Amino acid sequence: MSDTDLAALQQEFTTALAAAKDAASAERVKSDWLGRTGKLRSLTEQLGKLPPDQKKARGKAINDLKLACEAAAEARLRELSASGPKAAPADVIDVTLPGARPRLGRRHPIYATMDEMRAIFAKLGFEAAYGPEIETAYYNFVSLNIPLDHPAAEPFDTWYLDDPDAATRPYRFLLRSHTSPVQMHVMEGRKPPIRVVVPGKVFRTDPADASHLPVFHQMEGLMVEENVTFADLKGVLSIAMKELFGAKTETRFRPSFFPFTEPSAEVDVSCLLCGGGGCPACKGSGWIEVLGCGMVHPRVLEYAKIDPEKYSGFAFGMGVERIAMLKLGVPDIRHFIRSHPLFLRQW
Amino acid sequence: MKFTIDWLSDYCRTGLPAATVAELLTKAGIKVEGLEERGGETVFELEVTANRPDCLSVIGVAREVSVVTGKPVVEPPFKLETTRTMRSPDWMLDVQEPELCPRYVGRTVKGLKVGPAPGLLRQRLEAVGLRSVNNAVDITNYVLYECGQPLHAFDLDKLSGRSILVRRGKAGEKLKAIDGREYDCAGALVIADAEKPVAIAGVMGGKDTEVTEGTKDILLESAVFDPVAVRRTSRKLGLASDSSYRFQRGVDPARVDWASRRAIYLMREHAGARPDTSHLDTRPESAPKRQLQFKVAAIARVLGRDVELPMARRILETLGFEIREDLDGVWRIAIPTWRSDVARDVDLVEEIARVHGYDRIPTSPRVHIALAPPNPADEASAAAKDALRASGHDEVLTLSFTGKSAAEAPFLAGEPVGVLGKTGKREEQMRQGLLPSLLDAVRMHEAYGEKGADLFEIAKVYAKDPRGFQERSILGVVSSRGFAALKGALENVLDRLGLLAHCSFRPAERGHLVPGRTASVSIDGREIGAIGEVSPALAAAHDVRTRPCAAELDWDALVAAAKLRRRFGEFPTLPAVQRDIAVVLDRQVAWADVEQAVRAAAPAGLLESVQFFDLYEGKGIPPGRKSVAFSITLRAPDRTLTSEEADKAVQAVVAALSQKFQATLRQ
Repeated sequence: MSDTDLAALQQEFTTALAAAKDAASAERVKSDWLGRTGKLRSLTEQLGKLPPDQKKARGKAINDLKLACEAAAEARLRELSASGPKAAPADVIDVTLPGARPRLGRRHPIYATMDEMRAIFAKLGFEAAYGPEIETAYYNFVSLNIPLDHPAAEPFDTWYLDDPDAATRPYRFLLRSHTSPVQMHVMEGRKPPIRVVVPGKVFRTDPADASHLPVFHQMEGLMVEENVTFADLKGVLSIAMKELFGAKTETRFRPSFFPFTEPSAEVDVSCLLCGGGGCPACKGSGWIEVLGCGMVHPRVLEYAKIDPEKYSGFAFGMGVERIAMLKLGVPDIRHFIRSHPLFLRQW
Repeated sequence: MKFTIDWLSDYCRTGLPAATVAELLTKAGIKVEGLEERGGETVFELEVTANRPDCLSVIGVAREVSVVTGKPVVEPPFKLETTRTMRSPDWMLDVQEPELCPRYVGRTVKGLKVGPAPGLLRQRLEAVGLRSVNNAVDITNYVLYECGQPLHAFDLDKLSGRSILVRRGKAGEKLKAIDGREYDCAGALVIADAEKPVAIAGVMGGKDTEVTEGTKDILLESAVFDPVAVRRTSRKLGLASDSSYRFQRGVDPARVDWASRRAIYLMREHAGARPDTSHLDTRPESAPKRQLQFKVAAIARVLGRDVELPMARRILETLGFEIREDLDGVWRIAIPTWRSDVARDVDLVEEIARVHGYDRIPTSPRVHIALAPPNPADEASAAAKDALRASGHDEVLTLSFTGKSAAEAPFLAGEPVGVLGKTGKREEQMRQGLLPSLLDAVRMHEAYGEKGADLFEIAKVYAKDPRGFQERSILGVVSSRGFAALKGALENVLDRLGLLAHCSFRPAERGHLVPGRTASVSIDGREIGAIGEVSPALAAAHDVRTRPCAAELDWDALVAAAKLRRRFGEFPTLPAVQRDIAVVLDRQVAWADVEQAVRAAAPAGLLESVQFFDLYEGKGIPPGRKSVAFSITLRAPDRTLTSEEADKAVQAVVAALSQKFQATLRQ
């Protein structure tokens, strides 16, 4: 045999390797040629029959051929394994069919909004606190400087509990009509500095319509420390509103009245839709009312046995449903409680 | 509170467009809700907060307009010449309840010609939203809106004994009011003549003594009634009026006699009344103004910035406060009679701030940083909700009322809690469990073509027990995918809460779940809830056609038990041996017992886990028996187990099951 034979063999191997269209056939070609009983192996066996003077050169040529073939086989295998074998026609799948999605449950937008609000205030150092939904008139009204039998209690259309013993109790039981009673529980339970937010359910005797529900959610905030001022209130809420509604949000404070704060303010944010230019959503004013706030009334601090000469604070409260409706564009508050599948799956 | 801008201009002429005045008022806290064109007039609508009854009158609002525009207030000029015409009264006044009626001014006027009121009065009252009645009644309403003091005109000739008594209504006494309805006067403060009630004090006058076309002589009432008494009566009778609204909030004591004279003056001018008049006043002397020591340092302390003192002084003075003395930064201030809401430093600070402008207070968050440690309940709920959503459950939000009259599927033991609505009647009942609400949500899904629903909610339920009113947070889950799927979802929740190894499920019975397909759920042996198939009766009561499974767990107990903090645990690196075993045993043998037997029988220290994977009944298995397949994982901490060791363990397990449950190995 001559070296030209070896060149032909190499050509033959290269052709066979190219013909292999998947990794398995390439492996087969490789073992047919390079395996223990492969064609190249038999060449080596023939070496022994050669005269000693030719043996060395011939041996080197065969070895080179083997190395070249092995390298080619590896390269072809790598190439084939990169693309993988083509599936048999029966195994071809319709990749445009929808994926087998595991059903993923959705968060309710009210709880999601509440979580978002809580997280924003957590960044500002306000921790979450909770309190009972069944309250007494003391915590819901009296301790918050809302005298019973006073028009100031009127906006809080309150559900009182049906209680045969009501007459014997110092204060009647009711469903809290705002989250503010938790302010009092928190202040009674610890000394300033205090920074809390209180998310939770509240109850009013409003019949359900597009913008009212008898049960809805509020988030209350309270900060009581030394030297807290109205300027701090404005600062904290302005930052929080930017976080909640977007960095460009402007905030406006208007004087208002709440029995438990003095001075009190209502807070408007620049309209989310028009940015302040005026549109139907903001009734052309460019502003949307989102919360009420003020400096904690000294009387409230006194009820909590906190010295109003030493400490001051601010409080704020907002309706979670209202914020969610504004942020998400929900047109009717009743959507939140109807459990309609097509509503729940939008979030 | 509505009125025309033209009326307002009588007392404060600004020369400014209505929209500008509205904006200035709103900025100062007197919120103008609407500006409306009606019959060529611009009508203001104000939202007046409960602390500012002084702004329930046009003069009161004019004072605020004056403060924000710098234009003066002009009181309506009139003169009631009383000296010449004064005569001793031919009628009698007796206030028997001076606590509830601290002042009563009665004035008579005679020779009235009842007829239509002048056009301007009528127009202004109609813009307010009042129907014109006749000149006398319209004048009382006009003065009420002008200065905020309610008035009432009686037909003097119809008052029995020409007497006015202010007393409590007696049992059985009734009054037909001018609205034509009859009211029970028992216990209420009434105005009575010698025989009977003629008005419900501060709320509404009576039909029998009202001014009619035939009326000649009038007794005009201008009084002060106790706010709480008026409020209680008004609520009890379900009767509110412009008068009761103002008395509840408090009237300006300095306007009581003024309003009376003003109305009599207008009756002379516009209703032809004769000039002679008589009057009785139970408290003619005016009380001194209340005073307050105002530490001006409070301005900066509350607002976080100073307001220049001359500015602060100017604001307070234009609002009617008199600064009588200034001693080292403490101002002795006399409070105007119409500002009963001002009682402390902060009230004055607010007055200064709102007029000066909230926008001039800096927006400076110079609060120091603080930690906000996470609330354990929030962390637990985030973990649990995450697990439930991952297993395909949507979160819902349902109302806390049941909509049913009787307790239904209660989770919390005790009586249902009822709540009283505006009328004082029991209108709603609080839910005692979440399941009924969740089933309503399932029905909603079915109604929109879904085959059942997978839903959850964490919310409170309520009950009344001997200790009192109770409330408890619970986790409710409903599933369309069967018991095992729901149990698996719960196990994922318990796993996330670090409680999987602490929980156990045992056969149990619950009225609203199918017996034999219900389990109690316990944490460390303490029962915290149940899981099971919803009974057909309960499903039917909620029009649910599918057969959902449901679970309710005491969420407060789960939060208290949750172990959310994780720490690294050393894990084995040597290979494990896993063997599958299938045994045939009696149907009623519980897996929990099988597992326990397996754990007891396997060689100590080698058994890592026992994992159920199949249950089979039917062809090839004798009736009353079942095939249970499970795998055991064996591992030694210090060496690789041989297959002989594993075989021996399997034999021991099979032998134990055979001995304990007559189990046979399924080939």
